[in-house]
This record gives sequence, structure tokens and C-alpha cells, in this order.
Amino acid sequence: MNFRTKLFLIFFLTVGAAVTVMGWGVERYTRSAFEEAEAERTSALVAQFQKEFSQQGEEVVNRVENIAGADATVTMALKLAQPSADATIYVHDAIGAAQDHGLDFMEFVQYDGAIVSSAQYQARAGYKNEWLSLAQDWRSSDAFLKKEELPDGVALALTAVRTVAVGDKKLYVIGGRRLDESFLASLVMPAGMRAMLYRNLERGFIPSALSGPSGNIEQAEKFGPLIEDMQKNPRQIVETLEWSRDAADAEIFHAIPLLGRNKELLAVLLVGSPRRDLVLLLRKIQQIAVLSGAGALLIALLVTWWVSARITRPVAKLAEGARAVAAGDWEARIQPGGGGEIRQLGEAFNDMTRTLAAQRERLVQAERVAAWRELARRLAHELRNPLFPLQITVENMQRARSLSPAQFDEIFQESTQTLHAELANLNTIVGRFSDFSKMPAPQLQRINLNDAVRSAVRLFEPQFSAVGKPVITPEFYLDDALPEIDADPDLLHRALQNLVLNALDAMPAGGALKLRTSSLDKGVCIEVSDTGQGLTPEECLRLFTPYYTSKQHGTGLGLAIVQSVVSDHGGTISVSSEPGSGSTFHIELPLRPPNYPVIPGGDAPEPGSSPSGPDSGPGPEKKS
Amino acid sequence: MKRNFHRPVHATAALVLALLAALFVFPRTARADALEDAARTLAGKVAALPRLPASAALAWENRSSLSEYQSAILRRAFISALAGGLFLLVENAAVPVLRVTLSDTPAHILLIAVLQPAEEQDPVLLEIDRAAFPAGQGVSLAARIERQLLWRQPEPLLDGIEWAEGANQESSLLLLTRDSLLRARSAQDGWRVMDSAPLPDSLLLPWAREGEAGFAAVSPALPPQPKIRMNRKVCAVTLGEKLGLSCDGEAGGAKPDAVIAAPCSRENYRLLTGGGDRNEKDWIQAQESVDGEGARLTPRMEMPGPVLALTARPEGNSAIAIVRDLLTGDYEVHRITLACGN
Amino acid sequence: MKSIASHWLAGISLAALALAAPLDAARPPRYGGTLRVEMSRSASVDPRSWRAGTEEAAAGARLAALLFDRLVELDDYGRIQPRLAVAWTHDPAFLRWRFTIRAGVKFSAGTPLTATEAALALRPLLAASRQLSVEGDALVIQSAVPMPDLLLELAAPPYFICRALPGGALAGTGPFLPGAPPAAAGASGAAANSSDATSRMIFRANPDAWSGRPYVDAVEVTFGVPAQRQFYDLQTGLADIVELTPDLALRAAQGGLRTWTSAPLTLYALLFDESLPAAADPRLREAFSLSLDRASMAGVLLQKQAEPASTLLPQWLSGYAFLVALETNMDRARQLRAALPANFASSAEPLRLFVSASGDLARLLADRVALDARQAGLQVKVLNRAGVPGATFSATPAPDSTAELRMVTWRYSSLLAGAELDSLAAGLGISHADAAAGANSAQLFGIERRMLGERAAVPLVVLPESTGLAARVHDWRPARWGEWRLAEAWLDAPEPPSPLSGKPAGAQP
Repeated sequence: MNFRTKLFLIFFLTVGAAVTVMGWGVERYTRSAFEEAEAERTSALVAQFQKEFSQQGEEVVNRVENIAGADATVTMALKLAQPSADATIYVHDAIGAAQDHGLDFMEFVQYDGAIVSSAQYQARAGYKNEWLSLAQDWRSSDAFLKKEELPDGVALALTAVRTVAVGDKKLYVIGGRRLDESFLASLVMPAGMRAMLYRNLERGFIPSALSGPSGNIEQAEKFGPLIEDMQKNPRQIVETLEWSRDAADAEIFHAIPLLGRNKELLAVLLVGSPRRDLVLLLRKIQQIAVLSGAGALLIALLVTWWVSARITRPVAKLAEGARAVAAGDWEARIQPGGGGEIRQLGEAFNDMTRTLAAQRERLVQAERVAAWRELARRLAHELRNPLFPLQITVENMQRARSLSPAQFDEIFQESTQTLHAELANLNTIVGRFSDFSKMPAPQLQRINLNDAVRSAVRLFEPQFSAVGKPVITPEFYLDDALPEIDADPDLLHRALQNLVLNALDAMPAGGALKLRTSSLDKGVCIEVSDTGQGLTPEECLRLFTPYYTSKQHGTGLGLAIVQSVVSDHGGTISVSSEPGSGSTFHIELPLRPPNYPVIPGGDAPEPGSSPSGPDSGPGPEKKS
Repeated sequence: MKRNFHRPVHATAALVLALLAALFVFPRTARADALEDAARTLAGKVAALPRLPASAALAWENRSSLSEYQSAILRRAFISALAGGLFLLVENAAVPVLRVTLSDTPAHILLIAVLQPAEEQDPVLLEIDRAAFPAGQGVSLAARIERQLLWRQPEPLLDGIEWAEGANQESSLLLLTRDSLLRARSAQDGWRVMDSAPLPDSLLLPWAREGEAGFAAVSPALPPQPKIRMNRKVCAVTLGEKLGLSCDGEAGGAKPDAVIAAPCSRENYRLLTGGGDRNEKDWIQAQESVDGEGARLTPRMEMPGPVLALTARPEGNSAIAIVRDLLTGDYEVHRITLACGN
Repeated sequence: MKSIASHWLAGISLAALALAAPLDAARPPRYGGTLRVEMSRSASVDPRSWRAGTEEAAAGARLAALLFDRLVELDDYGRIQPRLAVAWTHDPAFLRWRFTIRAGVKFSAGTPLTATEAALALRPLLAASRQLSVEGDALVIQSAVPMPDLLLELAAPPYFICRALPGGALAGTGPFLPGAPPAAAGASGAAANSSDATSRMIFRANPDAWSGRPYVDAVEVTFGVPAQRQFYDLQTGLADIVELTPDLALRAAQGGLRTWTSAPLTLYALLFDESLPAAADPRLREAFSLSLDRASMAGVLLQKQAEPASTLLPQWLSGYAFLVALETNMDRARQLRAALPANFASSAEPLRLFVSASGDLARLLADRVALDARQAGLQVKVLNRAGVPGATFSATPAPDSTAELRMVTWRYSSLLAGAELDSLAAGLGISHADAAAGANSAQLFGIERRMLGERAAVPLVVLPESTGLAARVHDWRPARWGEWRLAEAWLDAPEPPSPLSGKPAGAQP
């Protein structure tokens, strides 16, 4: 994923997220604002209803007071207060009083609690209403809710009690309005709202006990949990009921507990206001939010595309320049466009490449000088060893001239032999340097690596078990399924020989030489392990440096040659070792060596040259 | 057994006489006997009760339409019958109570005896025909206006008048029933029906309703002759040996005012009634027949029922009131006189 | 308890108090005027169509008494009075009765009354075991069983002598004639049939009635007038005689109106349906019966206008009812209830009380019964009457009214306790082993006590009938068992039409 895409995505996602968050926020805020307003409206209506309710109560109180103050009632009280009064003649009076004053329930009760007349339940005349005399002074009591027993069941009544006292004998006047559909219908409700009444006359939820102004309620069972909750703990509850899957059909219900005189729950008033308008409004807002969000995103997409393109163009140029630099084009420069940081970046890039090129030049020169110095030091060291005997020999021969010819001859003879030997030694040294400089380009052919390993080891077999020498045990762990690779068999053979020889040198006291081949994903792996002293990390780092050796003899070119061969085949070599437990050399070779990259400004690609050319470069130069 | 009632037209005077005698004279004693018989029968049944205690108190209650007088007769007879029987009655003892109740049904009088407390003891019920009992008795006469019960019978009486007859001005009582005119004379043991005359068909059919028929105002002709008015016709009564009626087709006939004299007043008094409903007890009051205000009134004399007719004697010293006794349904003949002082 | 007679007299004395008696000479009865009667229901005047125990039969009998006569009549003092029979004899065993028919009496159609006519009229009304024959001017009734109370039987409402005319109409010998339309149809025996709408029948005075022309010119009967309306019509002078419900009777009396109250005539009772397990349990029945407070029902609910009923027959009819006391015993009722299966009369399975009887009163009593029973732990659910108007009760419950209990009414019509008990048992479907007809009072008491002991029927209260009458009505003397005897009544002279009254007082000059 390129920078532009990334930038585009980041921009786009950022914008998108911002739009979404904003839209969501606006929608949430609007919704809560609307709902708050709706809740306020509903609670205002509920308050209005409660006021209405208490007004109805006052109305009942007024009517009962009117009845209590009526002449007929006072006359009745006077007559009933007389000894041996006949209450039975008033049995029907409550009916007329109830009709005249528009009350549903009406009872006259004597001072001893005996019902004189009952409009709602005539048959109760003569029975006792104990609760009346238990109560306090009724004179200024408010209307209260009461369960009213009727011949065909129980009803709820908004009841008021007044007394007409004659001496110490009271006549109770009890009047009430039935709390039912018509009562609900008489309440002034705003359009859309509706009031329902649940008569809590039995335990649990009875759907038929719920009624609205026009009778029974559909889906009354939905109120079950609400009512049961209320029965457990009577308090004002607000709950939203869903009538269908459509949220617009939901209705918010304010459930108001209506308690009797002993705080028992007698009824639940449910004031419902539909959420349809609110839900539809919110939906509209949601739609607008989504549409505007989508539009914003589209615009963001286009703008981001353009902006990211504009921003990344100099960066892309920069990357191109960097790639050119990486490819060795130290002269690569970019045209710093735009302004600000991008322009500064371009200019910095150009400065950097210029500096890099200059520094590289200096480094190359310094390295070359160092390489030459090392080569000179090495060469001096190598050459000084044979030269010193030559000088001694020559001086011996000069001194021998003064000796007898026999002695001279003997010394001469000895000296020439030494000269020969030392010259040969010099020759060998020179040859080795020459060889290193003359590493040939690999001649690729299909080979079996396992065969190459075996043939390389076979040369040393006599040494493994030679008499007087420590025993070296070769161990082969060769992968038979190893694919064939394209490689130069001779170079590979030479490299493996060097490694085996190196291993043997590492085990002067004998040990095990382990050779292992294995398949890799796109190549093969060769491991050569010894059980010698091992290498220090410092030694590991410098191991492949030409002319480095931990040994007292040797040119230090062996491993360098190995590295050179491996490099020429496009492979890698590494060493892992721990002091005291031997070393293992890992060589990874591709199945087919890649083409050599073109080195800008460098020599024409040659099959023999390796990417590490600059490193191998000094070799011949040192040697020369 | 045979019960006879009047045959309206074809009944002969003899039949009527026999019938009246049977109904009014002889049953008097027979009825008293019936009461005592019933009490005795009840006593016998009580005495025959199983598990009879040695003694019991008597609680007597009259829930029937029998008068208290009759109830007392029964009670006395019952106690005496029982006293000669098996166990002794102790008044007001804390012993078992023998509760005797007189009750009635539309046609019967029930004598019910219950021994308490003996829950499982069946009550003794004795059922007697109502018709066998005389109706309530005993009326008290009051001062100022005085009344005297002369006669009573269960059959309807429309009107009555006292008439001085013959040379010795012997007083006879003329009674008008629905279908005949009766003449009674006072005898030692009360009034006796001497003879009767059936009313002619022209008067009879259809029957006159109560209050509709009666004696008409006495005509000024001499000698005065009683007249009856019925079905808007008037007939003259011929007295003498044989009671007779002569109807000459005279129509009309006014109902006379009942005016009698008071011994202590020069003024005559006009008798008034309450004129109330026939379901109510009526009263009679005399008003000084002085025109204008300040007419004196006597206290009201309460009658046992509605006054159906009030007819003064031509001499003006008394009047006859026909009253239907509400308690018994009998028709009574009262003589109304005015008495002064106490 | 006061005797029935005194109860009846109390009604009269109330009326007496109400009437401000004018200080005047005894006024002779006056001929003329139309007596306006209002009744709540219509009824047939055909005795053959009456069903014993119903209000319809009672109403029909009242109307029939205007048109027809019986052989004999019972007066208020328990005496049999001759009507169409002038004399009667019987054999000592009461197996054969001979009634001499009054001569000179003619039916309204003009034909003379004969013993044969009387036999024809009585045949459909008398039991088949009674044989009717004619001997000259006498009617003979024979039976294999003694008939000691035949006179009382014949004095009761259904035994009217009437003559069927071609076309179904009935002719009688009574003081009135079926009058102008629509009365002509009404007198046909087919009855004024519409029960809810008001209808009217007019009975003209029969000038040739053997018993005398009635004082009034006509009796105008309006049917189907609601009780309250009747009361108002009486108050405003639009009606002369109206029926009063118990509460209105009390109001009328309090308001100074003239009222008349009969002996208790209507029994309210509960019937147990023994085919249902709960109702068949004798302990439940006893508990139920013990829980009922009849004194309160009569004294409080019905404002002392009724009497508690402890027997099926009222005291005035049987004479012995006072011996039976059905006291409320709530403790005992609760004990019995505790011994019953818990599901009997529980809240889940309440006893169903079906109100078979019509009217608010039945419902009121049913409510009180339910309340009382609840005090004893017996739950009762009162079911409203679903029957059709006119059907006061049925012996067998309607299929949709399966109920353990039924509230029924019985209107007494007979003057014979035994016959009435038989009729009541048959009408209400109460089984009783012994026929009560012909039994003497002691036997009857035993029979009824056994019936009460079984508690198939539980009597509640007996209600008299109350009538309100206008001040202008005089000398109206109804029988305490409900006969009206309108022929005896007469009306005041009409007052000059008042601008306030909607119609003239109704009397003709």
C-alpha cells in the first residue's frame, strides 16, 4: 500500500469518522432534546390530569356536602337521632339523592355504622360499615379512593364522607363517583393522549381489569409487567410500550398509583402519549443526518484523493530519487516542488545525496588507502619471513668466501639450497595472492550438492584416521531429497575444501566433522560443523575479512575465498559459534544464482563479479 | 246437614221466618256451645299428648279475628276442661309452658296448643268452621249521644226504622234487607222478628246496593205511613196484622234527614256522620239544627263500622243507625238517643 | 307478629288517617263516573288460561271479577255468601254437592244462566275426578274422595261462570260488560297481549246485572304502566286505583295518600336444584338457610312492607305459620359450612343464584341472600334473569340458566291451604310425598314441616299487595286475599275541570 493510498485512507477515514461522530452526536442530542421536551409535555399533562383528578374529588366532596346539607338529609338525621327511630323508611332515599346529585354511589349510614340506605347496593341496608366510625373527623376530609362492593362485583369509587350530627348521633353521608370508563372519558385529555385505568382488585395482572374511555384495551397483556411492578412497589413509573415492531407505534405511559386510605394500591392510572410524532421526527432527522453524512463523505473522498495526490507527488519524487541513489546513482536529484516542509524535504534530500556522494568518495579513498596499507603490511609481513633467511644466507655466503673452499663449498651448497627453498616459498606466497586475484567467474551447471559435499570430504579421508594423528570422525546428515542446483562445481568444491580444511585445523585434538545439507524455500543449505575450540564473537565478525586468520600460519584467504564463491552464486554465509563448543558455518545457496544487478557507473556486469565486489576488490590489489 | 240462604223472590214468608229463627235466635246458644265444645276437644287432645308433664303453665294468645270476649270464653272452657283432666295448670310457674294460640284461616278458626319446651312434641291443631262462631260481642254505650244495640245479623241490612204501631203505640222495628222487609218487636229476651214481607220484583232486581235503599221521608199524610225507597221507586208499607207493601209506581223518594230532639233542649238536633269510607269506623254526632254559626255539637260517638243508614223515628225522640261492624262484618241496628248531663 | 287481620286493618286505618273527613251528613252513594285503574301488566280474563301462582293469573282474576260471577263467594269474615248459587246441600260424606242456581240471571249475551251453563263453564276448571251433572235448576258435583272444602274452593278466583261465545269471546253475568274498543278484543279472553306498551280496556256498567248496577259507569283499566308512573298518576289525579310497589306504598302512606294493603300474597323463595352436587348437599342447604336474615329482608330492605316467611304458606292461609320459626343462626351456619367440601360455594365455584322471578325486588332479595350467605362463608353469584317478560318463573330452569339456586315467586290464589300447597309444590317443582288437598290443618302442618325440613325450597318473605286509591273513590272494599270488588265502589261528583288537570275527572253526568 503506497503512501498515497495510505494517506487517502487516513484522510478519508478521519473525515468519515468525524462526519459519523458528528452526525451521531447531533442525532443523539436532538433525540434527547426532543424526548426531554416530550417528557416535559407529558409530565405537564400528567400534572394537569392529577389536578383534574383532585378537582373531580373536590366535586364529589361538594356534592356530598350538598346532600349532607339538604333539608331532607337533615330531617332524616333528626328523625334517626330520636329514640326508637325507624330507619327502614329511608331505605330508598340514597337512590334519589344519588340521582339528584349525579353521584354513582351514595349511602346513608347511621351513627352505629348500620347502613340506612345504599344506592349502589340496596341489599346491604342494615349491614354495618365499620370503617366509618373507625375514622377521624370527616368534616374536612378530602375525597379518597375506595373499593366499593356491588352486587355484581367490586368497583372503584372516588368517595367523600360527610356527617350530619344531631347531638352526639351522626348520620354519615357517603357519596362517590365510579372510577370507570365514563370517569376517564370525563377527564379533559389533549389530543392523542389517552388515559386508562387498571382496577387493582385482585393479585397479579388481570387484563380485563384494564379499561380505557371506550372500554377494553387491545393487547392489554402488554401492561402486565408494568402493573406487576407497580403492585410490588407503588410509585410513579414511566415506561414505553411497543405495540408492534414499528417503533412509531410505541407509546409512553405514565403509570400513576391511586392509593386508598390505608395506602393500599387500588388502581393504576395510565396516561399514554403516543411516540409516533416524535419517532417520525427523529427518523427524519436521522435521514437528514445520514444523507448529509454520505454527501460529506463523498466530498471528502474527492478532496482527499486530490489532496493526497498533491501531497504525495513530491514524496513520490523523493522516493524515486532515493531509489536512484540506492541504485548507485549518486547524482540523482529531485525537483523540490510545493512549499513548506515538502520543499525543505526535497532540498534536504538533494543536500543529502550530494553529501553522501562526497562522503562516499572520501570513504572509498580512505578504504582504498587502508586496504593498500593492510595489503602492504601483510605483504611486508609475508615477504619479510623468507627475506630474512635470504639475507642471512647471503651474508653467510659472503662470510664463507674467507673460509676454505671446502667449507665454502659446504656452506655454499647449504646456502643455495636455503635460497632455493626460500625463493620457492616466496613464489608460493606470490602465487597465492595471484590465485586470489584470479578467482574465475562461475561456470554454472546442474549439480547435486550432496555429491559435491561427499567428494570434497573424500580428499581428506586419509587424514581422518592417519597414524599418530588425532581421530576425526566425519558425520553426514545429507538430505536425499535435496534439489539439484545451478552452480560451478569446481568453485564449490574449492569452497567446501576450504571449509573442511578450516574445520580440521580447528580440531587439533580430534573430534567430529558434521556435514549437513537441507532444503530451503528457494534454495539449499549446507552446514559444516566442528567440535573445536570455537570462536569469539570478535573472531566471528572478522572471520571473512581477507588476510585475517586466527592461525599462526596461513594467509587468511581461505574463508575469504569461500565467501567470494558463495557470493558469486548469490548465496550467503554465516558462522555461529560458541567458545569451547565448536563452530558451524551456514551456507545458503539459491537454486539458481540471480543475475547480477547493474552497478551504475561501475564495470560492466561480469559473471564472475559479485555484489561484494568492492570487498573482494582489495584482495588482488593487496596481493599485487 | 243443610244450609239455607234467602231465595230472593220466590221464598215464602214462612221460609224466611224459619230461616231467620234458625240463624239469629237458636244459634246464639249453639254458638256459645260450639266455643265450649272446641275448648273441650282441644283440652282432650292436649290431655292425650304423650310425655305429658305433671304440670304446666298456660300461655294464651289470640291471633284470630275472634273477639277477646270469645277468646276468654274459650280460655275459661279450656281451663275447666283440662282441670278435670289429667294434669294441673299452674299459672306463671317456671314449668313447661302450654301455649295455646287462636289463629284463623279464611274459613277456619284454629286452636293450636304447643307444649314448650318440647321441641319434638307436635303441636295440637284443632280446626273449627268459622261460621260456627258468633262474631265479636260487647259494645259499650257512651254518654251524650247514647246508642243501644238492638239487633245484629250477618246478612246485609239496608235500613231500619222504629215505628209506633197500633192503638197502644207499640213500638216495632222495621228492618229493610236486600229482599224483604222485617218487623220485629221487643220481647223479654230481646227483639224477635214477628213477620216479614218479600219485596216485589220491581223493587228487587237488580239488587239495591247498600246505602242506596232505605226508608223514605215520612209523608205528611195522616196517619203517617212508612215508605221504602229502592231502585228509584217508592213503596208504602202497610202495617197492621200482616206486613204489606203497596207500590203504586211512585218514583223518587228522598232520603230524609235524621233529626231528633234532645230532652234538655228546645232545639232539635240533626244527626251527622263522618261520611267516611266504608272501610272505616264511622261516628255519629248531633248538631243543633240552628242555622248559621255557633251551632252546638255533641261529642262524636264512635261506631264499630260505617254507618250505612240513619233514620229518625217520626216522633223524633230516637233514630236507628245501621252499622256494619268492621270487625265481624255483621250488620248492627243501633238506637241513637240524646242524653243530657252525665 | 300481629295477625293478618290487624295488618289489613292497619292498612285501612292508614287510609282513614289520610282522609280528611268533611263534616257532612252521610253521603249516599253516587252513580256515575269512570273509575280509572292502572295496572303494571296485562292479563287474560279467561280463567282457563291462568297458571296458578303467577301474577298474571291474579291480575286476570281481578279483571274477570268485573265480568263474571262465581257460584259462591267468601266474605271478609270467612262466611260463604251465595252468588250464582243460592242454596247448596251435600251428603254427610261430602262426596256429592248440589248447588241451586240463581234464577232470572242472564249472561251479557242475553241467554239465561242455567245449571247446564254453569257445568259447562266449570268443567275445564275443575279436576277430572270431579264429575259434573245437572238436576233441574241445580248443578251437582260428585267425587270419589270427600270434598269438605268445595265451597271454599269454588269461592277462589278461577271458578268463574262464563259462557263461551262463537268467536272465542266470553260472556258473563258480572256487574260490568266488556266495553268499547279496544276492550272488545280484550274481553275475548285472548287478553291484551302487549305487555310493554300500555294498552287499555274499558268495562261498562251492566245495567241489568242481577247483582245490581255498579255505581260507576265504567271501569277503565290501563295496562303496562310502570310502577312509578302509576304513583304519579295517582298523585296527579290521573288514576283512581293503582298498584303500589312496597316502597311506593310506604311513600304513598307517608305522603298522605290513601292506600290499601292486602294480606301477604306473594311468596319469595329459593329453590335448590338437587341435580347439582353442591345444592344436593343437605348440610349446605341447612347452612344456607341458617345464614338468611329474613327479618332484615322484610323489615329493612322491604321497609316492613313484607313479612318474613318461615313457611311456604302464609299465616293467613294456613293459620299455623307462626309455629315455625326460621331463625338466623350464623354460628351454626359457619360450622356447617366448615364441614362442607372446600370447593362448595367457594370464590372459585360460587353457588349460582338465578333470579327467575321478575322485578327489582327479586334482584334486591337475591343480592341480600348473597350477602347473608357470604357471612356464613358461602359465596353466591347472582345471575340476572334472562327470561322473557311475562314468564314469571318456570318449573324447569332454562338450559342457559343452570344454577344451584333459583329465586322464585309464588302468588297465592287459593283460599284453601291444602290446595294451595299442592299447587305451589307442583308449580315450583318441589316434590312432596303426600297430597295436601283435603288434609286438615294438623296434617297440613306435618306435610309442610316435612317439606321445609328437606329444604328443597327455602321461603324468604311474603309480600302483600298494596293499592293506592284516589280520594274520590268511596266504599271500595277489596278482599284481603286480593279480590278487588270494584262494583261496590262509587266516585265523587266530578269537580269543574281545573285548568291544571289535563283531562276531566272522567265521570259522566
